[in-house]
Order: sequence, then C-alpha cells, then structure tokens
Amino acid sequence: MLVYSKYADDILLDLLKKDDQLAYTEIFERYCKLLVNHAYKMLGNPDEANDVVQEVFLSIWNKRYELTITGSLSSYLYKATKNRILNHIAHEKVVSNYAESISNFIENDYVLADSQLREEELEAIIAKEIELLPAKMREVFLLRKVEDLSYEEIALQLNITDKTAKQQVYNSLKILREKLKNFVGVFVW
Amino acid sequence: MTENEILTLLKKYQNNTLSNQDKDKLDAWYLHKASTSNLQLNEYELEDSYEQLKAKLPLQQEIKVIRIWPRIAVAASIALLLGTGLFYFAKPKEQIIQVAEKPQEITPGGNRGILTLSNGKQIVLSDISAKDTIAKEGEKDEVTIKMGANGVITYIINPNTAASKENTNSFNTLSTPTGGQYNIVLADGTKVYLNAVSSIKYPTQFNGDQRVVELDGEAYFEVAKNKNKPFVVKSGDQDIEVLGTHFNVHAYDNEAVVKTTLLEGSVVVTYKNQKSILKPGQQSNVSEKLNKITIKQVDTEAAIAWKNGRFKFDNADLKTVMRQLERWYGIKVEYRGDVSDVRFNGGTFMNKNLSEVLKVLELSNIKFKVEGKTIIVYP
Repeated sequence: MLVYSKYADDILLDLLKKDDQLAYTEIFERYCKLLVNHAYKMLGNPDEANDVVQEVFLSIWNKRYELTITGSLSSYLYKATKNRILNHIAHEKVVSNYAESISNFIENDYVLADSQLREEELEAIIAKEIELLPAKMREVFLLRKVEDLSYEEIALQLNITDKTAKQQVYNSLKILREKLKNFVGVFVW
Repeated sequence: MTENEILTLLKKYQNNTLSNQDKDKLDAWYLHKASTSNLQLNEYELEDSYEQLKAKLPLQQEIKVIRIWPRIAVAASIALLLGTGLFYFAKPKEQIIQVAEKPQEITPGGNRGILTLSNGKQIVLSDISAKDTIAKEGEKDEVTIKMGANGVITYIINPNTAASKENTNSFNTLSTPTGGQYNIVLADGTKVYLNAVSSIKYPTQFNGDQRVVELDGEAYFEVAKNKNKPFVVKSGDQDIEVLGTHFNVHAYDNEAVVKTTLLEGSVVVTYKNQKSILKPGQQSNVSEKLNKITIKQVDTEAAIAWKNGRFKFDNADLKTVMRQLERWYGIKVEYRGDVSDVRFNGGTFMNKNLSEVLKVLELSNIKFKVEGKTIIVYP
C-alpha cells in the first residue's frame, strides 16, 4: 500500500501494536528476504531458513498487543531470528554440525566485549547483509530505509553537520535522497 | 568443548539461565559465524521463499497482490482469486492462531493520523494530546504547526518573518492508516478532511502562484477563496483546479475509478489532455480503462457521508462497499459465489461495530460469515 510503504519502521511497529494488519504486511514486505537470507547463512538449508523466518513473523503477529521493542525493528527481528536459529541448533542431531565452530571460537578467538559493542556489530552485519542482497531488491530496501531517515540521521550517515543537513533537506530533499543512495554504499557499507 | 557441553550451553541460553559472560560468548560466536558465512541465496530462491511465506502468514493478501500489478485491472482480479485461493489452502495454520485469540467485536476506526515533517520525522498524532505547538517549519521557523482541542492540525505563519520566496520546498505529509481519519487546516485556511488509508502532501506555506497539493486516497476539501492563487489537487494523472469551493476527491490506488464530486462553486478536472468543468451536484469519473472523463449527476450526500461519520450508499456495488469497510475496520473480505449484481442503498453510522454494519447490509439479500478478521460474503 502506497501510504504504508512510506512509514518509518517505528511507525509501523506502533500501528502493529494497535492490530493493524497492513502495517504487519509492510514489515513482512520489508524484511522477509533479508531475514530468509540471514537464516540461510547460518543454517545452510533454504527450507529450514523459511521455517525459522515464518516462526519469527507468526510470533510478532501473535504477540502484537504486548510487543515491547527497545532499539530498532531491524535489530529486534534479527535477534528474534537468532534465538530461533540457536533453538534449532540446540537439537542433538543438529549440534554436531556446529560443535567444532563453537568450540574453536569460544576456546581460541574469544575476546570479552561489552553489549554495546555487540549491538553495533549486529547493526554492521545487518548493513552488510543488505549490501549482499541482489541489486534490485537492495535498491527497493534502501529506498524505503532512506525514507525513514531524519536529517540528524542523514547528517550522521553523510558525515556532515546537522545544520548543513537541514539546509540541504530544505533545498532539495529529492537531490539529497539521490545522493544518499550513492553515498550509502561508500560511507556506511 | 564436547557436544554435550555445547548442548548444555544452548539449553541454558534458551532458558535464560546462562551467565552473562557465557551469553556474550555465544552471541559473539553467532555474529562471527553470520559475518563469515559465504552462503547466499540468489534472487530467484529469495523470491521463492517470499512467495511461500506470503501464503502462510496472516498478511493482508488482497492489497499486496494489487500492488504487484498496479495498472492491470484484469490481471489484478485474477491475482485476487489466486491470492484468496492460496490463503484458503493455508487456512489450517490460520485457524490455529485464531483459536488462541478471544473472539471479539471488530471495532470501528477513529481519529488517527501520522504527520511527516519536512525533515522526515514522523509523528503519530493520536499519541500526543492536544497541545499548542507540535513543530516549527521553515529556515527561520516562520511556520508553526499547532494542534487544536479536537486534534485538528493547523499551520500558522508568523507575520513578522516575511516569507522568503525561495523557500517553497518545505513539504509536510499527513496520512491515515486503516481505520483512521484526520482533519487539517492548511496555511491558506483551506480545510481538508482525510479519509482512511490516504495521504496528502502539501507545502507548509503557499509561496508560488498556485496552491498545489498531492492526494492519494480520499479527502474532502473546503478551499479558502483566493482568486489570484488557484488551488490544485493532483492524484495520479488527474488534476483538479479550483479557486475556492467544496468538493470530494476519491482516488485510491486499489480502486479503478477516480471520482471527484462537487458540492459548491466550480472546479476544472484535467485528465491527461482532457478538461471538464463540474457543476454542483455533479461527479466526474476517470479511469485508465475508459481513458476519458465522464460526468454524471449523483447523490452528493453519499459521496461525503464518510466525513460526517456515516456510511451512505447510493446504488453502490458490493465490492466498493466492502473495500470501504476494509479500510475502516481493517478486515479482509473473501467472496464465495456470484455476488456481482448486489447493490446497496441506504446507510448507517461509522462508529458502530462491524457486526451491526453487516446486519444492515444483510438486508440486501446477502450473507456474511465472520472468521477472525476475515469476512466471507455469500450470495
């Protein structure tokens, strides 16, 4: 729906909590492929990846009235997917495929980090995975995300001051969006 | 670590009994694994997954399908059948979900809107209580956006800061979700009543020689008179030009026909290269299929009933009526059997629960079955 595709993630979330099925549909439209691809990266099996993502989306619909999400919708969805993937790995028959990797990592490479850093790492992975989407899908996804940005965020992403961003937004939001589309690749991802 | 130790670790993670340090270790492994994995689905595999999931999840199917073929009505109606078919086969899962939910009345919409400022910030208007200033716009904050006691949004221009002529690019958008309506007074004093699932984009002040706004969906306009600055409403390929008058525009992207109904004054409707002038009581229809403007005399009360909190039907066809209910109650409608010649006259109030509205419609030889948020229509 035209109206819904322009809503920022947090607005969609707000509407979802009020039982809005179009908002739910738009969240699915935005994140389905990204999450399936992510789950596939971890599981290596498209059917299992589909099952995991289906559970994630069913669960946010079933819990819509009592959803409490701190942080962004995207990181919430990734974490929900992660929990389900770890649940899946926690089966005796599956765990052997991951045992060596987990054990190697925990015994050798591990450095203690704070949770803030972990959060940033997650955001970086989301960004990287968006980049890996096929070109056309990525474009659609980015366009939607670009619509979400406030000028503070644009300033942050383009590494310019708030004031300059505000000026640019006033001068021509359109041109800035075009720019951002190109810059996004260079600066952020 | 042995496999058993790892299993224990994962089980504890699930139960939330893992120490913070171990949890952090596992999270770190997960992120490491995700960022080093070279596995990647291609475009076709992703599309395939998307289609599979779409059929299994409680999504708003109809509207999504229409979006895929926005301009081809025939294809859209085939897709609609296909979409509902898929949904039908996916039903067992859906029913399990619904059993868990309490059966409840489907309640009507209300005053709900979302305001997008020129900096891209979006404000949920129903979440803020009536207060003086919502935001300021313009380089020198020359425009103040206020919310009145009844929630109406108004734009007030500070007379002390002379409007800079160049500053014409500052646009706001007011939009409504399913079950939302919202009222606004633009900077020139024009009143706009926005119906559900609609959006209007307008400048925060009208500096040029025309007052141009863009509309998706439905709105009723009471345009403030200004002979020197025509007011223009753009919806897709249609432009409406007026000097000061009252009219309703119905231009949803999932409705085939764009309808403009005039109550007072006169308007010029332009569609592609054609122009027509409407007189009070007339309605113009344009559609891609007809590719021209047709004009007829209508019951204007029916066209603007929504703004007065009423459903009013003037020989309205079933699907048009049901789409109106979808937008107001957030329901999904499925059709069983041939219902193409059912017509409605009369009306009811929009603040009633859905079940009461359906009772009124059932007087026209049609039956409804409510399953969760899906309404099944039988002849």
